[in-house]
Amino acid sequence: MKRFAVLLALFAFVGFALQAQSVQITGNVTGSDDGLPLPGVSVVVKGTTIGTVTDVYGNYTLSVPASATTLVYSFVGMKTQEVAISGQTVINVILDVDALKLDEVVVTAIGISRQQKALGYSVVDISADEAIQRSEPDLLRALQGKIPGVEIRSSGGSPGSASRITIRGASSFYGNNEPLFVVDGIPYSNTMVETTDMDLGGGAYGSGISTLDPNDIQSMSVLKGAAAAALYGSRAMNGVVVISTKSGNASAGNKGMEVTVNSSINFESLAKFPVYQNTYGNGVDFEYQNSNGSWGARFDSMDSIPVWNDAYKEFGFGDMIPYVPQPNNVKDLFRTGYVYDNSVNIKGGTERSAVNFTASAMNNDGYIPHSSFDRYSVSAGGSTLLQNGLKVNGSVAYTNSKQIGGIFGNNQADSPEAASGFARALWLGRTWIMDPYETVNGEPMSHSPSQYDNPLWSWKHNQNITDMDRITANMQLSYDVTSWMSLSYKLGANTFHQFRKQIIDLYSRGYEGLGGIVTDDYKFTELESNFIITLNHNFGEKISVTGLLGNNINQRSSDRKAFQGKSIVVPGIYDLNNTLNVVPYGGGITQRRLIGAFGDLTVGYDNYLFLNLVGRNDWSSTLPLDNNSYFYPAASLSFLFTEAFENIRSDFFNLGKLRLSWGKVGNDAPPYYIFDVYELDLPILGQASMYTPNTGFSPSLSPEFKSELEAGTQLVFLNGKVGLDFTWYNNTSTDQILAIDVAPSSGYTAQYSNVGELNNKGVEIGLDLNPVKTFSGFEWNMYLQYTRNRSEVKSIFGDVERATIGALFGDPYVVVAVGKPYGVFYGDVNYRDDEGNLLIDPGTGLLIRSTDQDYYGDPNPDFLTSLSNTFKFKGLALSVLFDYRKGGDVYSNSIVSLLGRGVTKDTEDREKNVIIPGYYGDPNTGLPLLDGSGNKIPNVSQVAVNDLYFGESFAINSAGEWNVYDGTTYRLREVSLGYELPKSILQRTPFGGVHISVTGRNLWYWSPNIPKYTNHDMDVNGYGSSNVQGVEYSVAPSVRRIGFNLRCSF
Amino acid sequence: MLAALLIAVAGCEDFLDINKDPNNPAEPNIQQLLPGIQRNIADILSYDFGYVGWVSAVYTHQLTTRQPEDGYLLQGSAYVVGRWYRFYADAMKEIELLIDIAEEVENTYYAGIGKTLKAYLYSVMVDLWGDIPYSEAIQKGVIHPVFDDDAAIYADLIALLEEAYTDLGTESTDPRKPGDDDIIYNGYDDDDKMDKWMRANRTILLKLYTQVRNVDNLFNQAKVDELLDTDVLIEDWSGSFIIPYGTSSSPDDRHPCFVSEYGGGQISMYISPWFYELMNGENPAILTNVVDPRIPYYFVNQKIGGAASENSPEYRNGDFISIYFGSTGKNRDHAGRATFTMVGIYPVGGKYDNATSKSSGLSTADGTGAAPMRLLTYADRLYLEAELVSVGKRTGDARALLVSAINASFEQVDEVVDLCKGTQTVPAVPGTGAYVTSVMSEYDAGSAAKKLEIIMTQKWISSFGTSHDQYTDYRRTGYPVMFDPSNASHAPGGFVTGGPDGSGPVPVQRTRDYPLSWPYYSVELTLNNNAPPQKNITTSRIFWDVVK
Repeated sequence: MKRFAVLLALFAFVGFALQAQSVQITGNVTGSDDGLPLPGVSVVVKGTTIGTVTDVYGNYTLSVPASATTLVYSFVGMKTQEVAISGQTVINVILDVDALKLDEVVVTAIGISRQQKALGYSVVDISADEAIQRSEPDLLRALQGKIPGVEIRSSGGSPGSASRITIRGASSFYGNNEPLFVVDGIPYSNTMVETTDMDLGGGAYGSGISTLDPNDIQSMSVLKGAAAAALYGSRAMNGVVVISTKSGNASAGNKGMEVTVNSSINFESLAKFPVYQNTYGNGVDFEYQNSNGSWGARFDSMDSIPVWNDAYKEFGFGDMIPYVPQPNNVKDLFRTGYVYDNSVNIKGGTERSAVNFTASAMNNDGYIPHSSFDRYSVSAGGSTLLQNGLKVNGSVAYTNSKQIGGIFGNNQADSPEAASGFARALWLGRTWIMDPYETVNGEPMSHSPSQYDNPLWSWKHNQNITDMDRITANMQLSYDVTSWMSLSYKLGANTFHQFRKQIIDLYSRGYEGLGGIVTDDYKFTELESNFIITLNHNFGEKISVTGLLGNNINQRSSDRKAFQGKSIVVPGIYDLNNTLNVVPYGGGITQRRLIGAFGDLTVGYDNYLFLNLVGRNDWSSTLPLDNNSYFYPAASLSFLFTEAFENIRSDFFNLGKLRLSWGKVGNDAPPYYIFDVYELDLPILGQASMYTPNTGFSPSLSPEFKSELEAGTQLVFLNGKVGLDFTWYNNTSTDQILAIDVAPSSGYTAQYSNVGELNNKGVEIGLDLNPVKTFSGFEWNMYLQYTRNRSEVKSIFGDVERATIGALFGDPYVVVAVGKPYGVFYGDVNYRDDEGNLLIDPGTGLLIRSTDQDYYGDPNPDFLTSLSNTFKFKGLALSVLFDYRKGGDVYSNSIVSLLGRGVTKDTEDREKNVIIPGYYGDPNTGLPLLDGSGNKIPNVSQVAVNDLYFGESFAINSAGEWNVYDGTTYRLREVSLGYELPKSILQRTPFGGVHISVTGRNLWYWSPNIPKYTNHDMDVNGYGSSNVQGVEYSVAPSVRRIGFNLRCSF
Repeated sequence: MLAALLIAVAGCEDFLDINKDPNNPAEPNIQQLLPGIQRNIADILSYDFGYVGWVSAVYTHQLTTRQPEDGYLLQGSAYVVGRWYRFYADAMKEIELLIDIAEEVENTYYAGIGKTLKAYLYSVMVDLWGDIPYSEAIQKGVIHPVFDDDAAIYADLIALLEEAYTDLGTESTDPRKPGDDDIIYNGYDDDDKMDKWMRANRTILLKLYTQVRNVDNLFNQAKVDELLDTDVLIEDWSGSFIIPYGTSSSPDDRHPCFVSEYGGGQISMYISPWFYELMNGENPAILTNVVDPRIPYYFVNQKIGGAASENSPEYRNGDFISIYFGSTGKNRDHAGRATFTMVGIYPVGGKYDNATSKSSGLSTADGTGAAPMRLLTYADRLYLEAELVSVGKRTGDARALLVSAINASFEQVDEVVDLCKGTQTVPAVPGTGAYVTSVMSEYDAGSAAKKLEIIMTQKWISSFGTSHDQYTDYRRTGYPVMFDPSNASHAPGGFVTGGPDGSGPVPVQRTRDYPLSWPYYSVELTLNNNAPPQKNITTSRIFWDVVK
């Protein structure tokens, strides 16, 4: 290690001086397809880093050394062109469209740029246009359905709430399964800070990536496999999302200034309401009762009911109120929300220097009253090439975001914080009047204030307020030592401070009606240092060698302090000072460090065969000191067989490429998992107290590994009219560091250890079709994306068959189980006979709960597919994204509640009795009852329709197996219509370009296998970005947005 | 920053040596372990929803519930059965640690307390589950502890209590003495040394011998006689083995059942109409027409003077409103936070029933939650003695013992009220005179079996708030008589009345037969290779469950 330090020091202090004669060359670059100028084309003197890019009019000026012989012009989507310099001072170039995209450069690990053709693994490049969906302020949701191999799930419609992203399935049983985000070369923490368990209470928390301003994004690459990501080291196990920002990538040579202003407004609403029945009011057995369920008397059968309680009389209600339906009582709870997004981007520079500034403001007021998410961001970056040849660049960005949302979770949980704002919101009794919602004293009003807080009251009073500041900064020095060797050093910091206040107000059902405030203060800082030596040499005409050696040092520190204040003293003041008792609510400090050394070697042969070898060794502070080093390699091969064997290339078959790669990635442990500790508890009757944690640590932890074999092909036909990208992968994670459940009689409920094997296999298909392209300018592009992942838990630990990821009130357990996919549901089921028929309790006519639990659901989709159609004509562009998820079970408390409360049209047909198909069984033994001749006795006991949905049957209070529904969903995810004003109109205006668009998101969906009138959106998920997926306890429903966007550049 | 990193890299080893948890101590301390152990025992056995006391009270028909455990359904996966992990991982692991440290530093006081608590808690576990991991439980490195024979465990626990008794009586060489960290007895007293602990230890031993009185190779007549003759037993209320709760809401020191019942938006404890009717003199078979003066201390009505309930009540008897065991009636699941009769001041430190009502229902402002968890009181000791005499395992005057026990039970209510009444004005329990006279006249007229029934019934009434021992007593003795939906005299035709002021007949049924023990925790069965298969709880008896 010491040698690195010396090298670094030398590097920092040695001055470089370069003097040379130079020639000024100017010119213009246009595209061959439409003849329009191409801005942003890279113009580089071959074999050097001397270069520039064209301005908005396609013009460039470059001082080239007298020795220069060739200029290289490259641009995304165009064929790279080399032009010899032979004395001219003006060089105009027309670039051809590169239908084959062979020379397209993508950013891979550690900021390395590679041409597509050299990649032996799949890397998906996403342009800023795709990343920024104007109707979606959440970066991840904007990518839903667009990237093969990537699954993104939202956690409901509350503004700013987290989304979960997984690439090629989960790789860890309990650990983080989300990819590493790297922004401008520095890791970007995507932590979701969970203040209160999301099943017990808490809110729709956001995750770290929400502070990244989409307006500042220039491009994104998704490194999916182990081979692609291995250079990133320990945290790349789940893939990497590499993001380049505009401010972090200011590139010199773009003379003058360009200002781009973006302004958009979107309106949002709850995507789809359930369809309610308005025939029966509250009660049971067709009699009115003041109960939650709407199983009572027909509305036409009685005139009036007693007012629910005295509070209503203050608002002019009499002792009796009319017994009538309130068909819009749910709809009227909500409002039309909006998203305003405004940003300004300024870029400019000289031949050698460039700056880029972005400022933006995003304000999202949710469709749920009082909910909002606001994000303000400024970022600045610049680069300059010093006279001595040293290139310096850096950027800094500041974001403030503020999320305000309600309290969610399971209202019934045995927890003082349980007071969900959605406890009843979607299944209101059909006769309930929700407004007025508070008394003159501010107490919540409803038919039963002790059971739930009126949603209107709850949203106003019970809030989660999260204020987050993030600052990222980085600086990079790079220098070309010789024509074949360059050095670069980058140092970056990424820090955020999140301050959260969770308020349950006075008079809520939570906190004994006394009110309570939790503050949660979380600070996180990550420092990253990368030193890289790049080597580049061609041996003869055919062999090219690119090598890289690097050192990485990373430190992550966090400091969290949370406090709980109970009993709010003065109403309306939400500060810990205004509570009677304050106690600690968790927290602590953590610090971890990692040192890595890595190398990368790519050998290319004749531009059609590329071999890439990668190796990295890490030393981690979180592993046992004497065993903290681990190595992992990767290799990949890219073979362009149409280049190798030119005779198979034709007008029909243009390009064929095969990719093959194998890689391994290692990962360390979380901090402090080595030594057992004793934990301090709150005082008991004033006495200091400590206890032993139920989870034991292990002094012998070793790193976990994931290895992956990937094969793929890229084929292009008909001059780019048809493009197919196919990838198959098979990855296995082993030696996972996880707290494995142990028999409680051992004294522990879980023990950390290296165990388990998890396999994921899958295919990813991208089919690109360009069926129509006319000379008049009409273009039609179709892109079909298909993602299929199969996970299988191969082993857990010894003979252990099953381990719990999340115990959600005991039913369901979300588990890993040998031979099953990741995260299946396990819990209560009903007795069946050996032919699978349900056994019926002769006493009730209902089902019989089995004494054993069983598996009953798999949240992993069978496959995800999407079809995007884009039509372009002159400046007009229409694009439509439709997607389809097959399978993926959801444990849905919302559907169960809608049915059990008898509020939707699904349960309207009820004036009859029904017989549950099955045979009589013995509740004591779980065996079928037999008649005199030994035959099973078919059930003939009639039950009311109500009983089917409440009790030992199929909805509320039933065994968990009945609360799981198939998540198959068809969805019209995005439609956008844009128009770029012709340049001819703009000529006499100050505008360089004007683009207007209308966009819509989540416009329509249909899940065929759920009760029809519930209209539940199976996409939403109750646990944010955590590993528990496919479970929702009364989550805020999803959002539909429609809006307008205007982009002007000057 | 750059410089710092460079220097740090140079010292690679030190740079990475930062993995000691800075937030938590690496060494345990016996004086900080003890309060947590005691509090954990109280919590696990309490009435709080999903805890041992709660389902024990349901199965001894003191409380009723809407949870799946109603009707004797008890699953191995049930939350309440899952308390298994709290016994081992939260309480017993710390007790073992306490004993280990105390023995290492030769602190006999902490060792004696630890062993006494261990014996008590394991005996409760055996009473619930029978064979359980014991000899290999909580041993470092053992992840599949064997299940030991329940009777053998009992024999060992008896020996452990003797060992603890010796420890408690031996002066410690380690200078640390239990003080306020011992929230049960405030430990060491300069005059009495560990006297209260020693008496608790002997009384626990007496309880174990009483429970095995029909098991020949465990029952030790001489030892029982010695215990009672030397009388180093709990001698008054102040020596009772109880774990206190406090009045602070933050950090929350209150009785957990008080917090969830009075503080929560819903209630989960309903008073069994069977229990209420018996106390109110309405049971035709026992204590008929004898009204228990403790009723307003036990339960608190919310609807006063016939005030209308929020919804049609399943069971209403004057202002007492509740639901039945095993009910399948349509009114069982109605909301009634401000309607149902709730657990009162004696069991959980709630409200004394002074017949006032609150429209929105009772809240934590109506009590303190400072009622203690009573594990073994002076009254309990007298009931044990009365039982032993009554069944011929001890000579003496069972009648006099019963009278003393009832008196102690009444006094106990006043003592608990004193601990937790806060600002409430609560009168002393009316004298026992008339009540005792009535009880004893029935006792005097009764057969031997009836006499035992009356003793066990009185103990059952007194126990309200602590029910795990009642579940054991019922299985041992068959008393008191419990409500049975399939008994034609309790529920003719499968229907009960709904009470004099209810909404009419209510269908009731028993989902499964009476659980003679608890099912094993499904997680333990899955993870422990030495675990037996899940048992049939309707046939699987604890070793002491023998009829003689």
